[in-house]
Amino acid sequence: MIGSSAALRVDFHSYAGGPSSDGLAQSVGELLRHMDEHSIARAVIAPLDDFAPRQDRAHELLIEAIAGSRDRFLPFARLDPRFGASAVRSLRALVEDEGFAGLLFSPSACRIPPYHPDAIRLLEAAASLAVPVLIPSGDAYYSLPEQIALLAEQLSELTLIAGSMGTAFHALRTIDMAEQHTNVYIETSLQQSPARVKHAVERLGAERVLFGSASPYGGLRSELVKIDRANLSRADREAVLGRSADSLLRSLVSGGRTS
Amino acid sequence: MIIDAHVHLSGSVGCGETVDGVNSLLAALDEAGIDGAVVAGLSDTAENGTLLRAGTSSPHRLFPFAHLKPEDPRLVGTGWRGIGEIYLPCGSARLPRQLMRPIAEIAEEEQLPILMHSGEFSYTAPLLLEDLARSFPNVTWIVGHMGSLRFALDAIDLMTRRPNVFADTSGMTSAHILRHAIDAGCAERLLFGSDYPFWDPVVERTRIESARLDPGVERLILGENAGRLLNL
Repeated sequence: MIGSSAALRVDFHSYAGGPSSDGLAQSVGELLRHMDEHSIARAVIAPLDDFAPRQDRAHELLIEAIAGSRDRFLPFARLDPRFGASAVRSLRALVEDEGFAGLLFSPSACRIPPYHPDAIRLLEAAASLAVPVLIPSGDAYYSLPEQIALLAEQLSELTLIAGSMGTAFHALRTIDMAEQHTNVYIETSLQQSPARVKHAVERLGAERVLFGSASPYGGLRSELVKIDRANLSRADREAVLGRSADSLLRSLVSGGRTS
Repeated sequence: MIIDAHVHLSGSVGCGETVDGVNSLLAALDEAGIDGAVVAGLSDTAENGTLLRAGTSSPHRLFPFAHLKPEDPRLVGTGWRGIGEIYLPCGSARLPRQLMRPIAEIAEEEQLPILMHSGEFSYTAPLLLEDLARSFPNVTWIVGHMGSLRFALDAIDLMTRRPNVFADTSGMTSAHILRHAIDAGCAERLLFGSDYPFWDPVVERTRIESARLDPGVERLILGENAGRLLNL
């Protein structure tokens, strides 16, 4: 699926394109350079552009940008559930025709909570396509762990990744939430404490903790130093840095998806 | 000289051990190659004696900030280098300007900067600190955590309008946004901070160094700005 190297490294949360509404932009070339510098074999990548009317074009640009290095990226669609059937159609086309590996749904960018009926419709489509959904978490109005829990309960067959593990203010409750919902994984970016990464591994098992950078919101070097400082066992460290991501994606393929 | 402009003497991230004491702090600073640190109060004025003793015991490394409460704003003792960290709550019966006036007046009289917590919805959101910066223009206000990632752009926006506002980088993770702050003319008011023991000084220093800044600007952020602010 991704590779079999013992030192396999996967960044489960990155962006390219833009500019985003907060003015950030990052090219695939820039991201690749950072990945090479830090021995990242592959990265989950989603459009940085968070303005829904531009997202069809953002996906086209992403597909073009990664065409020459397709084996390095696991593209995730970035869609706004408020666009209803259109968003569902886009997801289906991106997964089935373009080989996208998942969906990134940002409740705070879309201003819609994860358990909203409009969101459920798009996320049910993701479940039926057997692709995981990465939800940047930690926004204190739209993506608190309690809110993601409501979604995890409603769609228990859907694989959810709590991106940025709730960030600084909500990390511990995000771990609690994931402990209660086995369909929830945690991605490590932006939350600053190495001790909390270790805590997540102890509570959930390393197989449900995925390394991520959220680049350009975070940086690969500092996020990797954070994992180094977490005092994980070698096996757990290798799992967090890549093996867990590989296992997750393999399980989804064996569950029905073939691309 | 590298100065961490935002550490505490004790605390816990809610898992693992509670870190406590000057020796642990100094060891963490040594490990990260940090020469000195602003040691700020957190939530209890009873901690002030310990903070002042830390500054006395390591006068060239630890620079104590007093925790003051608006309802009892007494600065006891000498040797303080600033005031804070202050968490401005929501729901007070008084406007922030009124609530903070006694502390701001002390800061102005003693020529001490005030470190304000920031980064959450509430009066800790950076734009809601603007009235304080405008009302007390002779006080230097430090936006702790630079608004965290959520409100970092607001912190930069505030800094561009208010020359008496600084920010420390603890909790702000994006090199791109750091560069945006520099491009916006704020390079001389950005302070490296780690928020130890909550976050890790080694990781937080790496965030600054991996941003690939102009070396002169990196030196400003990692220590020269704090040195100037603290009259070191």
